[in-house]
Amino acid sequence: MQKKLLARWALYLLVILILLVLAALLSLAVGEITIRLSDIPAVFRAKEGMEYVILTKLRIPRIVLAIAIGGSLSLAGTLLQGIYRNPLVEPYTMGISGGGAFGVAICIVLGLHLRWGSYLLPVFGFLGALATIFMVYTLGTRKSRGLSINRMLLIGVMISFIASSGMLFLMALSSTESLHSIIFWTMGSLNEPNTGLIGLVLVISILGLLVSYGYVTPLNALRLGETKAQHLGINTSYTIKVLFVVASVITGVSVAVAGVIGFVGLVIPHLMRRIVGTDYRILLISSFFGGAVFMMLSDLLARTLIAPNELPIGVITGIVGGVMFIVALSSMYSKTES
Amino acid sequence: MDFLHFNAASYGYGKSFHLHEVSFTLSRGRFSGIIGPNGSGKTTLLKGISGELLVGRNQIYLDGCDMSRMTGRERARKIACVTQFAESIDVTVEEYVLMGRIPYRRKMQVFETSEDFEIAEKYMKLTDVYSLRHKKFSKLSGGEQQLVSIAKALTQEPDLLLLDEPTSHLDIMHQVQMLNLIQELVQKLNLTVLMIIHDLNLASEYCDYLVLMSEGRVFDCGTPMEILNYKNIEEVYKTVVITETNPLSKKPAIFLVSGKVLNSRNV
Repeated sequence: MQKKLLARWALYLLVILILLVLAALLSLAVGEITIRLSDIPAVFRAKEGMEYVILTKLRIPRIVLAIAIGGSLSLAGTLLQGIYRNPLVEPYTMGISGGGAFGVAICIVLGLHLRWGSYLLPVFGFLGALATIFMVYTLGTRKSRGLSINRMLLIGVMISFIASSGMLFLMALSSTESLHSIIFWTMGSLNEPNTGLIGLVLVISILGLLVSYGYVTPLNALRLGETKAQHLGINTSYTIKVLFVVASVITGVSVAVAGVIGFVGLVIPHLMRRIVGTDYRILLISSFFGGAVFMMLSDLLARTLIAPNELPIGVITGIVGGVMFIVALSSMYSKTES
Repeated sequence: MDFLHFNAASYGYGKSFHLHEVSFTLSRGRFSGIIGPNGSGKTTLLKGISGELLVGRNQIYLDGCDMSRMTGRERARKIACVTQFAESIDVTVEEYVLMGRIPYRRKMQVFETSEDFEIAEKYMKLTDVYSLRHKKFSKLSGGEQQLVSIAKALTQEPDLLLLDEPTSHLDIMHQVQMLNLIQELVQKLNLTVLMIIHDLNLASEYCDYLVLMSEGRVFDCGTPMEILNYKNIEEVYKTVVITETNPLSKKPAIFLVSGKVLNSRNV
């Protein structure tokens, strides 16, 4: 039984890694200028020419960023859904993305990024996300009763509302120019010129995956409910705290660099749970790579659909993700009814 | 032979409900029941043992150890709980039962050992759910889910099994099947069982020892014969009953009296 299960998990992992490689190759080849896959080795050997520049300066950084952001958001969604045991939770509903966006909006309206440099945008995004986490965390915890899951959830939703209202307020006050950059930033984009930042996002996303693997057993136990997990000797409130922080940090970093990209953290964990099952030992890693594949393909659509212009990636993930979700849900219902 | 010892334990929920100086002692390998009206503190009592409620020092002893000094993991290796309902989760019965091995997992251990599988198999066979092992837990009937929950609890290899009204939503066939199984487990595994049960007749038939709770205190404890008399029951439950002896088991049997009959007798 155990060997069969492990073989099945290995198969899932293999399929998803193949998809990852295929999506990456597709993203390398397709764009404003199509580069034939068979030419790519030659381009790299030559180390010069326009195609070499396109690959190394544009497409590869984007692919790496897509993997890191897609993986992070999807992993964060999986973790939050696991600790809150609520399938509708994702970084977006928890207010973390909203808080990050609010932080960036403040920076843009005050014109700080113009005065001190554009690296301030991700810094403000991250600070906004951190502030949200701090508020959700402190308001959601009461000294006498400890951690209250529903309370944290409701506070997250409310902070998300407050942040988006605050952003509308800032937008109403701001000039056309900053209005445009706020809107564009809110819709999200993987266009990031700073390769150091891309590397940082990748490292943090992988660290997030590794740390959450230290908590697979508590996550699996939490499927039974908090009380039953405690009966199995799991320190549930500690687990929830650590994983909440992990999910928040990886989301905060993603939002800071790529803006608000919704739905990845909701749809991908759902689909993966449907395909690979609810055991977090396989679910965490397949969600991570599933999110990476989804993000690469969405980005491919975003930059090719109306080329030479680029669509905001949040639009693509929202539409594709939402439709995928409804299709999956209705096929599930028709299956259970028949 | 004091296995579980309550030493004037007083604990509860914040400022609201509290137990007051609860004292009793259970010996190992016995099937004991907690009875009492709603709100008398039965579940509170159980939650103190399971660790859901915080209990102060030197109030509850398990096998001579002060329970407030035990970690969650230590507790989970000695005590297992089965509650009224089980969360319907989408895993197979075998995976569900295997979760009982979680208290034994080492720090960075991700996969079960073959020993874990052997233990899970043993208890699935003992509780007669082995044939269901590839079925989804969420697709089972209520009675089957309870049996699987017991298999999971046994897979923890506990010394003490706590049951919170495990039979309350089952029909009599499944109630009797379940209680027979628990009785068998007590004998075969030298397990100590403490069960909350509402049905006084079932409590009388199956339990070796009863703790009768009333308003957060232990009203009385002893064998069913000592506890289940009409005086105790009328005083604690504020209900008129008649107690007789079961002709086969010689245990007390309780009959309820409806208001109509009671009135016609009084007139």
